Amino acid sequence: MIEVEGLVKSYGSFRAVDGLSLRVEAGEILGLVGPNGAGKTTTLRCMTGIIPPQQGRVRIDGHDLATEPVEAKSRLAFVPDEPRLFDHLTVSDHLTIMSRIYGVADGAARGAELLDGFGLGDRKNAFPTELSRGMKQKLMVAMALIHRPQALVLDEPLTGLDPAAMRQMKQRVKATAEEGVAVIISSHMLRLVEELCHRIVIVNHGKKLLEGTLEEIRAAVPELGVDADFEEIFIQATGKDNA
Amino acid sequence: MTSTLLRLLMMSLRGRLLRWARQLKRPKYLVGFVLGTLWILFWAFNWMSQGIVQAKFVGSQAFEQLGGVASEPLQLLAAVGFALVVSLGWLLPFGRLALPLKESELHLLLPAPLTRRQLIQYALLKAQVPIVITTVVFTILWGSGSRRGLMFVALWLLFNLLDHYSKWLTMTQLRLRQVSSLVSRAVWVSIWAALALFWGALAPRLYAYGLAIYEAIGLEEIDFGGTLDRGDAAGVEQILARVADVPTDPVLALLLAPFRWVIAPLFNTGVGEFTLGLVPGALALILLHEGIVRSRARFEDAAFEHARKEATKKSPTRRYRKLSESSRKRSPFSLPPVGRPEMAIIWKNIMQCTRIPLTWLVAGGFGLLTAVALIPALFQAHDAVFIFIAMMGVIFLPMIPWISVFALRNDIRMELPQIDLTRTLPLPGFRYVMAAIVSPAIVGTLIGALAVGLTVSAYAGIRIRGLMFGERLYGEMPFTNLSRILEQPLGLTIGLLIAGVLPIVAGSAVLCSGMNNLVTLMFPAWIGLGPTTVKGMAALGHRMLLAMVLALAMLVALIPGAAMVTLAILIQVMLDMGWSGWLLPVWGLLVAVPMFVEAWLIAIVAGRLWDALDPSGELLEAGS
Repeated sequence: MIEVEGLVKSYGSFRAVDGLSLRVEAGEILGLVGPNGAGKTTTLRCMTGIIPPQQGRVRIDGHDLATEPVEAKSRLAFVPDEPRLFDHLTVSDHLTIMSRIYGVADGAARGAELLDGFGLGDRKNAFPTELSRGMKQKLMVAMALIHRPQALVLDEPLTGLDPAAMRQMKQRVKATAEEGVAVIISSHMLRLVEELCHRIVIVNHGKKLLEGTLEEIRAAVPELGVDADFEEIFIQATGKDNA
Repeated sequence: MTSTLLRLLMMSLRGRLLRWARQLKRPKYLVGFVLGTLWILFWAFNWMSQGIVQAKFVGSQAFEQLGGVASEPLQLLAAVGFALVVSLGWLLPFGRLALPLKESELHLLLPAPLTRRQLIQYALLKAQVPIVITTVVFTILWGSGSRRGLMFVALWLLFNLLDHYSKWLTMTQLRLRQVSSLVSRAVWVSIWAALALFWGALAPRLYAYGLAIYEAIGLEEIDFGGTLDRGDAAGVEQILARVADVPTDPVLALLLAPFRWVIAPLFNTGVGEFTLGLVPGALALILLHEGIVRSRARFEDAAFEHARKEATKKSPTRRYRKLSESSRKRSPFSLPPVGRPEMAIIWKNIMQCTRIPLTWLVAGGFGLLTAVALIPALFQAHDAVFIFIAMMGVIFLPMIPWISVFALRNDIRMELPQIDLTRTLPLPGFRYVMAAIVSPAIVGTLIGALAVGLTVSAYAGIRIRGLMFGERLYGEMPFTNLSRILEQPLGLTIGLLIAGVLPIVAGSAVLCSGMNNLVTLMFPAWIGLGPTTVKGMAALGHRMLLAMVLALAMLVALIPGAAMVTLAILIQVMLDMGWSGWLLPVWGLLVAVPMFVEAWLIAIVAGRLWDALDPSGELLEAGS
């Protein structure tokens, strides 16, 4: 499970994340949504140990990211919004290196299974520059899943994917959660969040505006009525905040 | 519309300058820029003050002297060069068959309401920036005093002629691809026939003229070590006068006349003569210009293809694409899924330099060194060949740390752009950084071992030659004196020396790599990260500063090792123990061990820096 308490991150005088707290249980999918510049990516980067927060605490499966980084990170996987791969490594090399770093005993078999699952089996000797953006994205997810993480953080996972790959990715994320993994998805695709996530957190200016299931969020914005779709709620909530 | 295109060109130039100026507002870029500029100025001044330019025949005074006394042969030589350039465009398949426009420019300009003429003119106009810069540089180097202005105009015209000719050639050859094959073949055959006739008539006359000049110079009479080096003006003038007296074949002069007309302004010193001399070149330029803009060649597809090719060529990842399927499956060593995780980082980083298994590399190195020893021995090569090989190894050795630091780049510099991936890896900072330090050091040490091996090969080669042909050494091998001092056979001395040097090679590679990784983590924005080499004055300044810091740090880091060896020698002298070649490996270890310890300490500090690194300011925001 993932626990975030009072996360604060500033860039100079600009506060990107302002005391954000959230909790994701095992098997749960949490959607993190917000307008551009709301602090989503910074939050995810703080949660995964890429950038240190100025305040707050992140725990992955009970291990504090600041004091037990290796234990926390070995249970965590992060898929960034932009697939950043090593130009000189082939698809297969990427999975080999991840297997070794995370000590996955059945790394070769698991890697082959993931590559086949994502339709990359015949591209295992290709370099990143020979892959489309969607393929790179799939490889990033395969790399994230190879060590069977207990917490999975995805930043805009569907960007660059074709409709068939989107459906496949959604199924994979659902299946991963069903295996007991705590999942956080940050996305601008509100339909995806609506469809996949058990709970949603709407953020703006680094602060949490609303949190809960879709019904709970709908109830929190009564002026839109009970039939309001998520897009209307999102615009209402973030618009109010901007005003 | 042309003014709009000109405006576009000026705006993009202005944008570049503004971006550059904005960057200089940040102290680190300003410092880098100042240092880089000082560096360039220092070298430029040094170069000019040493009189290299003025002293050589391309220098302004000598140029004028040559132009005055031996103007005829010089002009003929320049005309031949020009004729060669003109001909080669039709004879060799090099060069692009496309106007040099970027993909972004094509996407912007092709759908814009522009005439074809305007678009082509834009491509021609674009070339003016590099042409003017090159002309200014050459004018500064070659021109002198009042002639500078004339020289600028003459050079500008010449460079424009070359640029326009290459573009005219592009458009014409492109058009020839698009017309019927019969017409195309007829044109090509006619041009080749004309060129064959031209060069067939020119070559024997040129040879005869060259021979006459050679005889006039009388190379055998010149004392190169004396007269010319001392700049004996009288001697040079005598030679030039003899050269000027060589009569020019009238047919040769006639054949080269059109080319001489075009380059004439370069040699005309008087303003009136110069202005008149410009006319043929200017006319040729106008004709070429009209030929390009009026060409009916469909250039769009070729321009797109060229733009894409250029972008790929500039991509640092292009070399990976060329790898065969079997090469892609190779790796420096096998990496089982379970074991120390940092080995995966070393595996990955070495793979950036080579995918050839390390065992193959070592075997290949032995094979190469054996060949280096055997081949000259079998051909009974002179001692000089072996001494050259040995010296190559000795000269190459001190460069190893620098190779591992600057050339390989398979360290943390390549990791930082992938920070979103690397920072999430469950590896403590120390182990992660240590892996990044060790990777270039392994490759550097292997190259160092190869350099050491060259010295051994040279020695072995001489021995093999002696055994096979019974020849004695004519001169002295390097280290002969050392073997005498140590009272050991030369072979054993070299062996012991290598045993002493190898740990130092490995130590210095590790230490230098450690310092480089530490500096990268301390000042990531100062370092060129990723595979692309950053260009520009600020980057040059940063690199220069980094090199100075590393050189200084390396010197300081050598102090403990040097102190250890000094202490050992002192103890030896005090105890009156005498000298032996067996001390060489011990001294090598005494120098190397502190280096390894220092690298270890550096890894601890750098590991802490990695753990505490906040990449948000300098790495993630920079769009890494």
